Amino acid sequence: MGVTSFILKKAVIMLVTFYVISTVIFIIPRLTPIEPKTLFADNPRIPESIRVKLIESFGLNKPMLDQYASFYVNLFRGNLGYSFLYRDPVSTILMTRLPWTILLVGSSTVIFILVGIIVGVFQASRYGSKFDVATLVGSLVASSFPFFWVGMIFVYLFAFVIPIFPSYGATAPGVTFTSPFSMIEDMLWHLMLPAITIVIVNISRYSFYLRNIMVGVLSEDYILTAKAKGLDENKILFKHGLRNAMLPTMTMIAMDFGFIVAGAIFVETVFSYPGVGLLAYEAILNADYPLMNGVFILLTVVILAANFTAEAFYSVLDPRIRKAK
Amino acid sequence: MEIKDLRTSYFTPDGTVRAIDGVSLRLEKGHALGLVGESGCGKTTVALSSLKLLPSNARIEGEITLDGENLVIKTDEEMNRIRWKRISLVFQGAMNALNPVFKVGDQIVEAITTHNRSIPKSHAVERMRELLELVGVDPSRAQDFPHEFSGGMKQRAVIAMALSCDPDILIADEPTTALDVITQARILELIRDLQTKLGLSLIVITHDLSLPAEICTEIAIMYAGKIVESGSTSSIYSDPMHPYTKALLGAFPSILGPIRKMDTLPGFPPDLRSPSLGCRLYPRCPIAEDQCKEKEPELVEVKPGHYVACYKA
Amino acid sequence: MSNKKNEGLGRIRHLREQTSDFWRTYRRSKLGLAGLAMLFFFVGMALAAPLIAPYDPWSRVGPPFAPPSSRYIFGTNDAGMDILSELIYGTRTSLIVGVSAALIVSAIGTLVGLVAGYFGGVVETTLMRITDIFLLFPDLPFIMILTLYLGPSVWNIVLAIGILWWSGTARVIRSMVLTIKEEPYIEAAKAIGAGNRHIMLSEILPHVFPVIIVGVIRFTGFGILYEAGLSFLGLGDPTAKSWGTILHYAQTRGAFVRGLWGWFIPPGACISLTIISFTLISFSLDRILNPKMRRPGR
Repeated sequence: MGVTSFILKKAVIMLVTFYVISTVIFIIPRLTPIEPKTLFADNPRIPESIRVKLIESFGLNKPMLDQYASFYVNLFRGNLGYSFLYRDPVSTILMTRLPWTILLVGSSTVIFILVGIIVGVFQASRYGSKFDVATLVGSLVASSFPFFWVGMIFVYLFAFVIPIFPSYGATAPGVTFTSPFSMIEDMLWHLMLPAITIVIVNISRYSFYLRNIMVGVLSEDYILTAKAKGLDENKILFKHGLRNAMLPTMTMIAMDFGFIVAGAIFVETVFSYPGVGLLAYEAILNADYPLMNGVFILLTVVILAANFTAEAFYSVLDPRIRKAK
Repeated sequence: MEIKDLRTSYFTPDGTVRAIDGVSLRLEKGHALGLVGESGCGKTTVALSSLKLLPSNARIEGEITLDGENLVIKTDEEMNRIRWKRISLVFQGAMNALNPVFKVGDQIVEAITTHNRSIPKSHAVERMRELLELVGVDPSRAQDFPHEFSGGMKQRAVIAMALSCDPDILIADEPTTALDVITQARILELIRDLQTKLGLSLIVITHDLSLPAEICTEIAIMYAGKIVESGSTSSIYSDPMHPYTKALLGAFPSILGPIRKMDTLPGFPPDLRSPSLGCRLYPRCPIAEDQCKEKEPELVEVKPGHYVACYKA
Repeated sequence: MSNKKNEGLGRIRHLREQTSDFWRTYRRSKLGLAGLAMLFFFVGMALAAPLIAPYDPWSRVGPPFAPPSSRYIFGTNDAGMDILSELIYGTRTSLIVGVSAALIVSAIGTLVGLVAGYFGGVVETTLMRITDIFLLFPDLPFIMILTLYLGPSVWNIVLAIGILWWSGTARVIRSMVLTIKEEPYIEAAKAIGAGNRHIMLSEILPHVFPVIIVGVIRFTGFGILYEAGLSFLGLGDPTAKSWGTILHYAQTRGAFVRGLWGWFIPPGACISLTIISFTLISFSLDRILNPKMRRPGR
């Protein structure tokens, strides 16, 4: 049962990784000369009753090991502390903002992966042609643009110079909607620019990777065999070629989530899009330590989960693992 | 099938490589032709050229006639009807000829259904199992993936796949390289059996001159993109005339004969980007003369059916 | 004793031949040349900054929020500093951060990869597990947190990048070492009695060198990108001139509403062009040093 043992092993690795990362995040603030109490609880913006509860449940007055234990206990209970900035429990804030990020990142990721793969496949099949060289240079260039700058240009051009799109937010502030359709329409309108920004920069990256992978795959003997068998070009490309290229692609996607998350942070910041990314920015700007910690832990979980899913997919796709004893 | 004056060149950034420079061969129906030469002499290119499977930076000139039709001028689509149905190919290093992500059986079925669109799937599967049995592979293994097959089994499966559309001609490029000696013998036996059973016409490409002795009726020896000697198997073995052929035969130790030093030719094959005007073996030939340097010797029929390209034959 | 000297001279001559061969091949790549040209442009700009910048970027030389004009080619920022001068000095920050980060990443990564690949066994497994964990670290959030606790500074960024990114290099180097380890000349060296350190440094290292070089160049590009991003988020040193910081102020001090395109387009363009140059160079180098066996389609 190759797949099951593979997935189990991966799950264990993920858990261990999470443990290590969360421990690191626990230790770092405690390396500074500032007391944890001050960092996480003593803030004029927190009501007294809550402050006391925080100190208690996180053991901020107690020695390090107790704090460590309380940290994990609270983590499992979903208690991530209290945000100074928003005056709300961190977990509540995260839950409110997460859906927006998922909407933005989810939709753009699906698009750029699909389009990037297809472009990459065609580039590889026309290796060395004018199409290939032109798109290659294009993607090398486009992948070098910083996310946030592209976003800034878009905001300027399409929200200020030619005011088509709204320049910030996910929905128009303070407006009540007459029907679900107009609300969705408004959301889509707000989604456009940030999504396009993410898509443009990432398509170029993915088409470049796919191109390289596909060129490698296409030089394999079994492709020549397929051609000798008399199969037509598209079938060879997509059925024989791509199917094999998907394997390293999955690994690549799994490793790429860190970058995707970073992209989300940048884009949300430029567009003031109320997702988790913008939250991170706000937390840093306002030195809201509990909030930043909470965001970090959430993002870690997201990245690990995404990585795990991608690796699981890989194990299903690769018959060498599926059938391994 | 007949190949007349085939010239295939590859365009590379370092220059144009003339891999095949005027090769002519003839394959009679039901016969087995052995194409022998060292690595890089262009024999694989001959195989690829006949199916027009060359990369886009290659150019073919000359004629390849199959039943009166010239293949060189055919379009890719037209070739697709010929590939596998009339001529099929078993690759060098068949280990990698099978796609690792698909089941072996499925790949063979694919070959069948591509050329017979009307055939129902169940018939194709039937046929696939027949083929596997024919080559000596247990049909129940069709459910497995290539990495679960041994080297010899993979080779057999690839042969089965090559035969799936009843081709007239089978080209086997180094069918036994990378296999252990016992498996080599078995595969050769298999090929011989199949040839008799199915009445195939065979081209066997190899660098090992002992191989054609077992299965081929005719042999052609290639060096540096040209044929240097050709004739019937018995004629070549009993009376080799070209110095290169003699060297090839001499390089193979005989179990029965006395222990002697191997005769090999010093030096390396020429750079095919800038072939010389004279005989291509000139720098390495032990019996070379001045006339060999100036002009290339033509293939001359020295004995009935036995052609040599050498002034000294 | 003179043997060693001859050996050394021979090696130098060999190296010189290799370099000119290499240069000849590199010259053929148009993309590579373009990248190199851009790189020279920016390096020149960084080196000659005090000479070519029209004003001192740290002082207030004009009215704030001035639009581009003949006096201030890209205008001035919210504190009246000349943007063009800021840009020119910003080249230094970006290049220094990028190169330093890339060097640290490559050094640590190569070391880990070499040791893990060469020694195998428990050492390899432990090191690789650690590498895997580092690979999964969320880069940006972690760097943000580090900066939060350690304070905003350019060197914190270099440090943070160095701590995280070595893992990618380590993996690549390790797999290369695994292949090279099997080569006969390694066995030969061992048979002669060469010490582990000697083998790793003199026999294996030269073969992974091309990959390291390409990696350094690629990582410099990434480093510049990240530094710009982090500065943009306000995590860089607010007093240092960095393209990212310029964009940060542009964003937060309302360049959009004022239509001051001179403030936010040029810095981004500089970032992009610099990164493009590194991308092009690393792409061309990779093509030359690590040729792929390919059969183009048909």
